[in-house]
Amino acid sequence: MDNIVEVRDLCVTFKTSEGSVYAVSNVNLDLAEGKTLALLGESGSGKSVTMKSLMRLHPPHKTQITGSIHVAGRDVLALGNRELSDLRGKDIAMVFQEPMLAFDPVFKVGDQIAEVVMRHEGCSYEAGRDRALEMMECVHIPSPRKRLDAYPHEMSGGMRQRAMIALALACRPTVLLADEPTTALDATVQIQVLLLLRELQREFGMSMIFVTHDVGVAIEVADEIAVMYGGRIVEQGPVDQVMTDPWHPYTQGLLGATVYPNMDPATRLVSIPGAPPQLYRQITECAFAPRCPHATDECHQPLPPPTQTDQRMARCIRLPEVAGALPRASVLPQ
Amino acid sequence: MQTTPKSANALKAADGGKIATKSRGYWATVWLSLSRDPISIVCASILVLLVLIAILAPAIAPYSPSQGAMVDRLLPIGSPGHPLGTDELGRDMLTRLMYGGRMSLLMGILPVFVAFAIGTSLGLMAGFFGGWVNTLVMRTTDVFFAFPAVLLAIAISGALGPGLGNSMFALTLVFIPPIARVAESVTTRVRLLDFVDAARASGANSLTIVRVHVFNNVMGVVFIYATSLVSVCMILAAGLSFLGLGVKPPTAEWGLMLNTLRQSIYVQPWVSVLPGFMIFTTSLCFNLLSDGLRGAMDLKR
Repeated sequence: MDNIVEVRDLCVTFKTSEGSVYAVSNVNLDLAEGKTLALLGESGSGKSVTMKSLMRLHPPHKTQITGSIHVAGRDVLALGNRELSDLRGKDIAMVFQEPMLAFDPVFKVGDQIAEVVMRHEGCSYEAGRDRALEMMECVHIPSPRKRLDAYPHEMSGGMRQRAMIALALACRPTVLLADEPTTALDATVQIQVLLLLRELQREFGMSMIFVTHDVGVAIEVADEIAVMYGGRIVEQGPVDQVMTDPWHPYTQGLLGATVYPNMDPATRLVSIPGAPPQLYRQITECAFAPRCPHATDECHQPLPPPTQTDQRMARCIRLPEVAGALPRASVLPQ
Repeated sequence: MQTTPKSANALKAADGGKIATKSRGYWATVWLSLSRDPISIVCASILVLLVLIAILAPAIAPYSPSQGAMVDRLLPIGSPGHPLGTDELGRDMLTRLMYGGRMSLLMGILPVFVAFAIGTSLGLMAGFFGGWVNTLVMRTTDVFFAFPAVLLAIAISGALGPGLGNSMFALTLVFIPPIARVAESVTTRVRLLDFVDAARASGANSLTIVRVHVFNNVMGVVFIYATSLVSVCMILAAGLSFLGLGVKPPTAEWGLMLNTLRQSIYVQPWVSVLPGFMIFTTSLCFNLLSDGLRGAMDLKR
């Protein structure tokens, strides 16, 4: 298999006391080795849910997952608990959004990294600590030896996120899932962490899935991009093509609301009116139609299969007319 | 808890003998912060002293605790040969207070300790597994909450009959529900924090998560709560003995001594309140120490 991650027809449904929530519907993803895929979308669009499904982190008795997920050649949905624990952290690791909450406050950072290494490689505590030190150097934490014995609250936000990355990469995973890793950081630290992730990805030859709601961040790190809305992927393709020539009205709307370098100061940013849909029912028509400037009656009919070319995919019934309707220049850095 | 010496060795090995910074372990940090608090230090010293006296009572007590002299009954404090006077049967008060400390401290600490072990396990289980396990454990503890602690202790000891073992059993039973409830509420909170997900994403199974991550985060809070219960337990134990449900005469125990000296309060008031004073001092020290411990164990301060 060429693809390290293959997701087919993934549907995730949560059972809540108020009924089912159709958080993710019919998601297909492919990720080649060494590439980065960005999942772009606003809050509640199903990005994080898709991501957590790849590791099956959802509470099993409240979640229904259908479809198929293959990571590193293994069928994630068919694994038993034991095999699943072996997979997590070893083949597929995750960087969380809020590094303060993702570290256990009562253990030293170095020990937490060592613990993961000991768990997966069965090595001694000393060897785990050595690896932790090596990883802390890899992520450019200043005076790493000293930081091994720091508690999470004794580190700054940026440093904590670096340590989180060190933890995720400690067992050399083949796939790294990054769940908005830069959202909790301020702008200057954000770019450092992004560059670091890109550098480490190249160094370790990992594949990466990167969840973000920031178009700029997605352009910065990704090779491929998948735009999610209402639990579905509405547009997918190589990042330069999608960003220069967005097909789906939602992607166009996102780009129209984004600041980019060298933009004309007189340009008005266009916001998308309305709010994302509630997912308490299975949405078969276009979920974006109520907010779409191009919507017509046919948009409220059930969606036909997505328009697909070699590299790109978009899910819009009026695609031929609306593609290329982006009102302004590209946001890609020249 | 993770061991510090090991990590120090690892560093030493990696650094060719030079350690960049000497790191302190968790308990060393707690100890350092505790030692800066004068109230905690005074209370800890008093408690250590009391425990030492209790342990060494047979060696250092001037008399036998049950040997009395009818002619020397109810001597005042400062009498020659009896610095703290004598009780209503002419037994030396100093000796009896020393011996009484053994019983009182035992009855104050042991039930809380056992309740701590059982209550924490129950609470962890209830909090982590949720669902029907939670309902079963927590609703059962709710039944115990229907009765005031004192009444419950009296009822259980009364039903089982007087005696040291029975009263300790009763006290243990009284303290399990509050400890379980605290452990459960902390577990429920900790379980939903991101680092539990993060641990799972790093390949930890449920057992590891409960044993390492949840347990260590819950432990501190419950431990502090349990230390504050020691003083309550001592007072309850003294109360049981006072009512004749705890240890039996002629065993020396502060609560029981308070009871038997009660009739002599108009004859020798200062001697009569001595056991009460001991109970008061000990429980105050436990309370203040647990307060200090709460501050010291909070790493983020």
